[in-house]
Amino acid sequence: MTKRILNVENLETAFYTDEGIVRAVDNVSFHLDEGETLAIVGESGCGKTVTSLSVLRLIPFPPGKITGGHIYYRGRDLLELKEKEMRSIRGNEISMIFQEPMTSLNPVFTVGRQIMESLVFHQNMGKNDARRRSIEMIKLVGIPTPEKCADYYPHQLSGGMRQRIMIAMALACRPQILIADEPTTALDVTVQAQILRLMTDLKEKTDTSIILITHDLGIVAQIAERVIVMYAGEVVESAEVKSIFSDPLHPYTVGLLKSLPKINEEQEKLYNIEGSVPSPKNYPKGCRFSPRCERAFEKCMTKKPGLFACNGRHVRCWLYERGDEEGGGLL
Amino acid sequence: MLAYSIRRIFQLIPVLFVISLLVFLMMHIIPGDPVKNMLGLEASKEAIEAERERLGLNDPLPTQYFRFISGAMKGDLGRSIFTKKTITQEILQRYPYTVKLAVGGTLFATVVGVLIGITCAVRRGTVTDSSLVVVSLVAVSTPSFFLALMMMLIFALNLHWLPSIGLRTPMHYILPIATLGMQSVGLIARTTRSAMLDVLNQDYIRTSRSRGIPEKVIIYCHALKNAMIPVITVVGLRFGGLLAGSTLVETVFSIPGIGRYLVDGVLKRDFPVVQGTVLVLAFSFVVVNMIVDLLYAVVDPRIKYE
Amino acid sequence: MDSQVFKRFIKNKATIGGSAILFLFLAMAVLGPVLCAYDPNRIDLTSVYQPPSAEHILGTDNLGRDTFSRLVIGARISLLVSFVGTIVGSFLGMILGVTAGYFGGKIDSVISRFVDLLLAFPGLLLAIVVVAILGNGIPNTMAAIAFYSIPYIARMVRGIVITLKDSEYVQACRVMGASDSRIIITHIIPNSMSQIIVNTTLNLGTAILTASSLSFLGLGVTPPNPEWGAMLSQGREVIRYFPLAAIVPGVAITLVVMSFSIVGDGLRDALDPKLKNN
Repeated sequence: MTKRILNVENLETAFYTDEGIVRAVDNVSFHLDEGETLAIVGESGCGKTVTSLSVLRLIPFPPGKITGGHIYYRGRDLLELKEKEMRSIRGNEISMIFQEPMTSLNPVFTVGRQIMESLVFHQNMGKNDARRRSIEMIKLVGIPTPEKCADYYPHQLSGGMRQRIMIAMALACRPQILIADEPTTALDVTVQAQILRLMTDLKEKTDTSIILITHDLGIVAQIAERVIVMYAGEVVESAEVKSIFSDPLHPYTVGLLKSLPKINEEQEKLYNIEGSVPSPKNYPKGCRFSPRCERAFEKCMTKKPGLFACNGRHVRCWLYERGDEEGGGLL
Repeated sequence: MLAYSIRRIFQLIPVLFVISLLVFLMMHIIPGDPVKNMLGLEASKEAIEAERERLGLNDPLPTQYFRFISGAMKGDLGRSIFTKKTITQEILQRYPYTVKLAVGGTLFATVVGVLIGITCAVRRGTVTDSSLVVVSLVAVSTPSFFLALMMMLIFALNLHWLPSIGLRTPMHYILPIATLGMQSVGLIARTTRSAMLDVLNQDYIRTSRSRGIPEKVIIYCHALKNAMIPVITVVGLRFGGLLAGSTLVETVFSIPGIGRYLVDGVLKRDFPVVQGTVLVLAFSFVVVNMIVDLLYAVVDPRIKYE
Repeated sequence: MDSQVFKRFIKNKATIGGSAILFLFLAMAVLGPVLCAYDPNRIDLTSVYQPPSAEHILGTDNLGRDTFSRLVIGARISLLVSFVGTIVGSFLGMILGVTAGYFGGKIDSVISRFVDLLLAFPGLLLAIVVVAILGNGIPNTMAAIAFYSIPYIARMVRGIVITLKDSEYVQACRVMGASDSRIIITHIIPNSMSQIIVNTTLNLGTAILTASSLSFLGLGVTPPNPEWGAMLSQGREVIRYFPLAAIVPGVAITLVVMSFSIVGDGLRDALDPKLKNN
């Protein structure tokens, strides 16, 4: 029986800007099981990164603030914790790797020192032990000369190497959950494949649960087990990875899949979803996807759809209304 | 690192040579005859000529320069036209006062300025931030000699907490160093503030936060080390500024430093004195600039030692 | 200055305050003698060291001269010295900067070396050296101010020109056969003007500081001219008995220097709002 390790309920995160309140994450719910890889998919600006930063409570305040919901990690609501308790979870039980390996490492410290630091703070390791473990971690992420590499500064490493170091850093304390925010977007295609393989290998070895944030459905197909699709700050569909690819329900998901190039079919032109993501300051009145939706009808323009259950999946679309509407928390 | 330092020191030689040439030439385009000036209006033509001959002022310029530079290299900067004392000795006596003031002022300004800058950056947009920004602005704008007079008036003459003039005891150093440093406090605070704000927005700071590093460590270790790179530039520049600025503070507090010696030399048109002090000050700036360059390499590993 | 820039400029309260103070002192300098009830150099030994009164609103000094009248005429001298010095310096700096940036090559490296050398030295020392060469007095103080402003402006302008030179519209002009001087006068200079104005404004504050420092040391404007630094220098001698003589010119210098730096910052934010967020 799988155990639920993270349960996000009705999360709301807003940014208070000069031009008004921006609801970047609006009533988002999802869960993560032990050892599972969950992908959060969507175009840029749909709230994926804000969702993941909210889980770690890393939303910069001001202007950002988590305005509602619960984030249960092993039964404890992270939003209720004191800053100090939260700090002992960050990097220790839940860690994160970021999109930009080039700028995500501190340029004035050696990478070895940066990995050691988490160990010293979270595991009370002595310097020597921490260094030994850091070198082990560097070896684990497949860097051939770990001792030497530990004394390098970030600028001496390539992008792919840096991302490996980021992974080593994130996994040093053996976290329960790894949040990977577009971990391969900034890398060359060949390096992308290596990093993905590394992540799946390490997941097998360490039994870490992964939340993978990406806009790349190809990556999702390779490593994720379950997918939630986000659009304009909301979850629009959630399903097993197989069914998403074989039978997408939400017109937005359908569009995303159609815009993927296919090797075995000759295509004249790639499909392209018309229009762009609406500004969070000015969401459409009804369904947020309705202005771009090919199948939109009258109701879509005026009334916001709930999340409907449909064959064990959930979808936010009036086309699937016959199912029962459910609260987001029961996903 | 050592090789890099040695190479930097060798690179100084041509710079120092150019500076000595410039200083020498500057002093020889001074309008008016210093000798006539020295001997007074009623001096006879013959007396002036004899004195010029004695001082070697009738030799061709290259010869004079050669004499100046070879003397300078042996530590001989000539004698004052008026007091006839050897300039090297006078400078050696006065230089330590000025250096102590400038070093003290720089330390004061750096410590206070960096602390203010960090506080402002961390509490950006709060009342603390805006009031400290105003304080820095006033500090930058107040002329050091005016501040010196006011501090002297308050702390020495009215409250009698501190001595007013001279540099006999450590207590004597407090007012001159504080007034000398104050103007740079504002500048260093501003630089630190904007550098910290910039660094705190960087991705690697978010990474540190995501790893659960305590906020204090992030600010004073991770962010500050990065923010120090622009701050070092300003501190280095200000140290030079304080060496020159101590002229003013020395005047207010009657301190016999090299700055006052230079000003007296200019006022009396004692050109060997001006030439000697400017040369020593110029050398000091060049050396300070080199130290700043070396400090960069210590703080920022991206600077290669080639 | 277009209306957008002007709107942004007056939106900032500090800038308005700074401009008001500057305007006050400028008015003082321009009106000058009209405001003075007394000849600033009139000696009246029967009323020395007077505290402020209806007759002498800021009191009198060691020779019984009216402090307010001296402050007004001092504003004239201090502002004139720094305006002329800074503007001449900015102009020369601009010429050097444009020449170095536009023509590049050997000319650029010679000018840049020279500018870097000057920048390595503190402004006050450069000013003292200029006075050592030329002697003191009002015109020579202006020359000292001009000389030390040159390198800052030259380096800044050079940087702007180098980026502008490769911009597409300058390239386009060149393709259409415009001459170098035409490109410089109609495109390069107008486009670097806003930054030159901002930096010149900021330099004006430093210029007042430097000019008054020189006068305070006895190297700049000399008594009996009521330059603010010189007035402070006289006030210093009687600080124990009559601090007002030092406080009046000191506060005046501080206010003007501060206002120049506020207005300079305000101008920069108004001309380039992107910078403000930092």
